[in-house]
Amino acid sequence: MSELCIRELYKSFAQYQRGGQRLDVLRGLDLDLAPGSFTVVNGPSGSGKSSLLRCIYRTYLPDSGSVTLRLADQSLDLAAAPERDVLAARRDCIGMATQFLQAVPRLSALELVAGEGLSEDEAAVLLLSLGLDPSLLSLPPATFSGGERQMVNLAIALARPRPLLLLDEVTASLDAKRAGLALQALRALKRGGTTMLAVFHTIPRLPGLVDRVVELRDGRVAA
Amino acid sequence: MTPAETPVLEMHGLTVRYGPGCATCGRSGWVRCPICGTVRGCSSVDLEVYPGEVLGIVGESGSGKSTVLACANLDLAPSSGCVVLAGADVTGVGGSRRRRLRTEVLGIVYQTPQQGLELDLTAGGNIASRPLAAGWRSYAKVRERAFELQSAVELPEDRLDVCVRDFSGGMRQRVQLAKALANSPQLLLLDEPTSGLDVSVQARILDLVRRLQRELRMAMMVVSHDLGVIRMLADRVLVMHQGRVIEHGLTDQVLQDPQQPYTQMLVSAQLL
Repeated sequence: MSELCIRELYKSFAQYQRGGQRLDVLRGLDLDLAPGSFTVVNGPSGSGKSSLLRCIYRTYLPDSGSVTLRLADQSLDLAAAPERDVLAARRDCIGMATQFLQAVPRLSALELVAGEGLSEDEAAVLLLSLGLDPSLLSLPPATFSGGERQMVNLAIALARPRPLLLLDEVTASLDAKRAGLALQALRALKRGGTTMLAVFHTIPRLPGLVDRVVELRDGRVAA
Repeated sequence: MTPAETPVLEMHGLTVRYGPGCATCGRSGWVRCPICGTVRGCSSVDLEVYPGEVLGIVGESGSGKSTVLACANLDLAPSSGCVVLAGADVTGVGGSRRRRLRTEVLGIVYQTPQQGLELDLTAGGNIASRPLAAGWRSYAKVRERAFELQSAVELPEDRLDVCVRDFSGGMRQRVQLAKALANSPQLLLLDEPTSGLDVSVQARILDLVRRLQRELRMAMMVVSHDLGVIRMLADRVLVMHQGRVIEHGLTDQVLQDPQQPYTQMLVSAQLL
C-alpha cells in the first residue's frame, strides 16, 4: 500500500489583477509513493513541479482531487482536511525543505535548528555534517550566502524525523562537495525509512538514493 | 486526527452594530445602513482559537479587526452572536465576572501603550497591577514576579522603578507585554503590537512574542494590517474585509495562494 496517494489533482491560479486570467498548472495528476521510496519529479521549468510539492504540503490549496496520506493507524486527505489537522500533520508527518529560507530575525542558525526539538549539540553536529562553516553556527542566517542558507534550511527539515519529506531543489545553490554531503544525509534518512518526493535540477547519481523518476507533462505524470 | 480539545476562544455569528439600529439594517447588505446610519463593525464572524495556537486577523483599516478583538477582550458586547471563553458563554458579561476573566484568562497588548498602561506609574507598578488584581498580597512575591517578567521581556533591570512616561515606544510596548503576561493568560490578544515602532525594535518584539508564546504554549490572537507580523507569528489567518471574514486558511497558504480577489490585492500590495 502506498504512503501517499494522489488522485485527480487539479490546481489553477486565478489572477484577479490580470482580469481573472486562469493559469492551469496541474490537470488531473495521479501519483503514488511507496513507503520508504525516493521519487524525483522531473520536468521543464513551469511544468508544475514545485506546485505539486506545495499542493501536498497545502501551501497551495488544490482546486479538486485528493492527496491522501496513509500512516500506520490513520489516513488524512490533505487537500480537504481542516486547517488544524494539516498543522498537526506538518508537525508530525510531513516535512518540507525549499530553496528559500524564511529567516527569523535575531535567531542564530543553531537556535533555528535546535528549535525543531534537538539539543544545541545535536543541532551543531547536524549543521557541520552538511558542511556549514563552524564560525557561522552562532550567527543569524539573515547574513548568510544562498548556499549557507540552504544548508540551514535542509538541517531544519532533517532535524525532526517525519515519515514523509518534500524537497524542492535543496541542493540548487550548493557546491559539488556540499551537495554530495546533502545527498548522503538524504540517503541515510532513506535507509531510516523516510519516504521522499524531490525536485532536482539534475537528477542525483548517488547510488542507492533515487528509486524512481517521474516526468511531469501538461500537468500530469507522463506515462 | 487532532485530539478533541476545548477552544480557548470561540465566536459564533458575531455581529456588532455601531448606532441605534433600525428594522432594515439587520437585513440589508450595507456596511452603513442608508436609513438610520448604523455602521456594521463586523458581521457573522465565526472563529475558534485552540490552546497553543496563534490566529492572525488581517485586513485594512475599518475592516472590523479591532471590533472582533474588542469583543474577545469583553470591552464590547456584540449586537448578536456569542463569545465563548474556555468553554463558558461570556457574551455580554460585566461586573466582577468580567474583571475575573480579564485577570485570569485574558491578557492584551494594545496598539498604543497609553491604552494599556498608566503612564504615571512605574514599570514595576504597571506590571504588578495584574497580580494584585488577581489577589496577590505579598509585596515580595509580586516584586519577584515583576522581576521575572521584566527579564523575560528584556527590559533593563534598573528601569523597573522608573515612570513609564519616560520610556521609549518600544520599551513601553515591552512593559505592556510583561503586564499582559503577568497572570499567565490562556489567551493573549495583540492589537497591532508593533505599529509605530521602527523595524529593529519591531523584529525584537515579534521575536520575543514568538519565543514566549512557544515556551508558554499560550493561545494568541494577533490583529495586524502588516502581513510580515502575521507571517512571523500566526499559524492560521482570517482575512477581513468590510466587516466580514472573506477568507481563512493556513498562514503560508493565504499568503502564497490567496483565493479571493481582495486578498490577492492585499498580498501583492505588500512590500516583501
